[in-house]
Amino acid sequence: MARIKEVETVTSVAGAAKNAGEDILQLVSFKIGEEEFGVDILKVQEINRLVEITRVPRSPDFVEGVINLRGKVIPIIDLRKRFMMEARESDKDTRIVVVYIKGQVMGMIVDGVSEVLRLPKDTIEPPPDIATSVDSEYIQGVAMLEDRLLIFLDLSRVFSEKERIALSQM
Amino acid sequence: MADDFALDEMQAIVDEFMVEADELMSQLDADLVTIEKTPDDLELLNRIFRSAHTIKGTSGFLGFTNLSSLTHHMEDVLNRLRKSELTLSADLMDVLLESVDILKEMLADIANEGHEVDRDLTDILAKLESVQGEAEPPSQDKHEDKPDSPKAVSSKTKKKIPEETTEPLSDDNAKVTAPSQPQEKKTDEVRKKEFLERRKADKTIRVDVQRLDSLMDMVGELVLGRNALVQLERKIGARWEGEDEIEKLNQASTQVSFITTELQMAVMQLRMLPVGNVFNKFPRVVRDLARDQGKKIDLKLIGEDTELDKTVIEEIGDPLVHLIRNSCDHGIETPDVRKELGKPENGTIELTAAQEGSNIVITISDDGRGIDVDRVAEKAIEKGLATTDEIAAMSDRDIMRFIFNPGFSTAAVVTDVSGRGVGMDVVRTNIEKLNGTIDIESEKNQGTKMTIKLPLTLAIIQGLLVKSGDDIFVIPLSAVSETVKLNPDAVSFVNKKEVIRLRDTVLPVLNLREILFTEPSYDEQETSYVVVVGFAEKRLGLIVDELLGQEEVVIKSMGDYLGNTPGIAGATIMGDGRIRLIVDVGGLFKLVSSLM
Repeated sequence: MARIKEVETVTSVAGAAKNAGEDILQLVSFKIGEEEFGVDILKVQEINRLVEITRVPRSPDFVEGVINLRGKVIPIIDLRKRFMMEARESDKDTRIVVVYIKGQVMGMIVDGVSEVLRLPKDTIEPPPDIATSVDSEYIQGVAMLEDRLLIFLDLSRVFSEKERIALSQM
Repeated sequence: MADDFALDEMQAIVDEFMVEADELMSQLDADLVTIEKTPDDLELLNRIFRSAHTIKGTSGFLGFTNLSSLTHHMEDVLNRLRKSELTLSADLMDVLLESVDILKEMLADIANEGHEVDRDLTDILAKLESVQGEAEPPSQDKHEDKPDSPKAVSSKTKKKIPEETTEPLSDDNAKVTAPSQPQEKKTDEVRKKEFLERRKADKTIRVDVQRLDSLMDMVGELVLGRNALVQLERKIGARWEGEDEIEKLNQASTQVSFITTELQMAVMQLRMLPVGNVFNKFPRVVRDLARDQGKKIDLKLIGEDTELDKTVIEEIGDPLVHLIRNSCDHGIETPDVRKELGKPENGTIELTAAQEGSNIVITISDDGRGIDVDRVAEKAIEKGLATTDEIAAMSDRDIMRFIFNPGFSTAAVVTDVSGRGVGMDVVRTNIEKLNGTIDIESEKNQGTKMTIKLPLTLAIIQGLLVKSGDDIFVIPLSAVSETVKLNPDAVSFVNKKEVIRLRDTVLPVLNLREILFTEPSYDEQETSYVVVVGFAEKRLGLIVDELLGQEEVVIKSMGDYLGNTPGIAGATIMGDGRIRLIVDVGGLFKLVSSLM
């Protein structure tokens, strides 16, 4: 039930996003460890609780496997592993953020989803030199919120071609 | 004429015409090639004439003037052939076939653009004129209302008074001395009526493939639901055994199960097409190649009625063309060489199709020069694909399989080796993608036979569920030859590879987990099993922990991101909603050879 609620929130906000001015960006924000990340809400299809994942042989280690999403088989990646962060047991807050990217539906495991944010586009700055725990390759920009830093992820890089090519040649 | 029709109605007629024309064109292609060999077959000649005539008539009232004009000219030639005023020469046949090619292009234009594209027909029309001119008997008048320009046809014929309401030419008993071109005198109105009636009389309906696909998807989901129901029924049955309701539940679930299977078969049947749809284009391919290379080749087609899933039909065309071309190019010798070898001048290529259980077997055999095993072996050693010792231990068949290696496909190597191999790796890959296998038999100077085995459908397979460690996999049953209980003491080592003795043969064995996950081998439990899988003539024993049973599964793609996972063909969703991966046996063999 909680899932459905969350989905509803996201989609209704996504609808509003279309009406919003072009200089407002809507993000779904989630946490991995102490850091907060955001992805474009229009790329997010739904947010689910963790379900049973079937592991897939000979895939990169950050690919957790595949899940059954209402009759569709979709790949799941673990963002912690993707960003080379320390592994952690899943808990009640762990979520799968299902995104739609390059014509494909994929899921990513995050520690917990925080909220939907509306940000003026100009608050997003290019990736800074200061060290974040994430390779700047995956970062589209950062935004300073009142008390914290939000990392705006470049999803197409997170699910980058490089691994896909590596995969197919394995 | 078109004004009488609402636009969309007109479009519907054009669509119908395109479908009909497509069928007629492939028929024409095949018939023309046949008639070249049996020029006296008047029945066939009449059919060819009717095909051209039908296209002419319909394209006329639809306003496709170029199409109409070209078919009109073809009809002239065919009509005179029919009356034996012309003799069938190879040159004449070339012109007719060229016309058919141009017709196909014009039809493709209409299909793509929605209307006829302007095209310069002067060249082909002149050719059609000139083949008639050469053999023109003096007594015969030229066709009286031959159009002087392509655009003129329909307007001229339109003025004529309709004198017939039936179409004499559709009568199969049409006499050789056909009525003096009554077809010329029909108006477009009559033609339109004929066309519509002809389509109406069809006992078949045409359905958009997409609708069939979504029906297939739904049936797939239904199969999953059925599986879930059966599982649940078993569990509940075990718990409440003997209860009245359980008996009824059992009956109901058996009924649903039965109907689902029937429905699945029926839907699969809907998507089946005779393999003749693909075979039909080969007489032309062989004919053209033979003529180009000065060879004499007979093509025999057997079992064209064998039905296959549409997707398989679509995918199998290219590999077959490739193999047939190979047979023509490199298999069949020139007539002189054949004579010297004491073979008949005409080479023979035989293409057969037959159903064997849930597979279809297609063979392409020729009586050409065959594959020189020694040369293949030499090349394999030269390319570092095998050592001399390894070759010595291999059977001829195994050695021949080297031609399926990518390294073997460069043209230079191939011509040296006997010609075969151009893109044979591509052929093999394409066939493996369809869950099929390809096998070669060849004898020097006797010929070569390729045997392709394909599943009837791609969507649903029978699978063997096996447990390996914590993972459960589905192995396509079509690849499994048997399962045996593993006796750990029976495992011995040959060249550091684990093998077991299976009756008279030595079978290499490997743990499935080790192959897929490259996880280190661990001690096989007392209760391990060996699943013997075969791929072409290769065999391998997969060690698994448990055999969980057999189930029908619907293959789902894992998408682009994971779709190329080696050793995995796809995934399936089981009755309990869990995902299980389907093992790609061909891919496993590749992984194994990289491991060893």
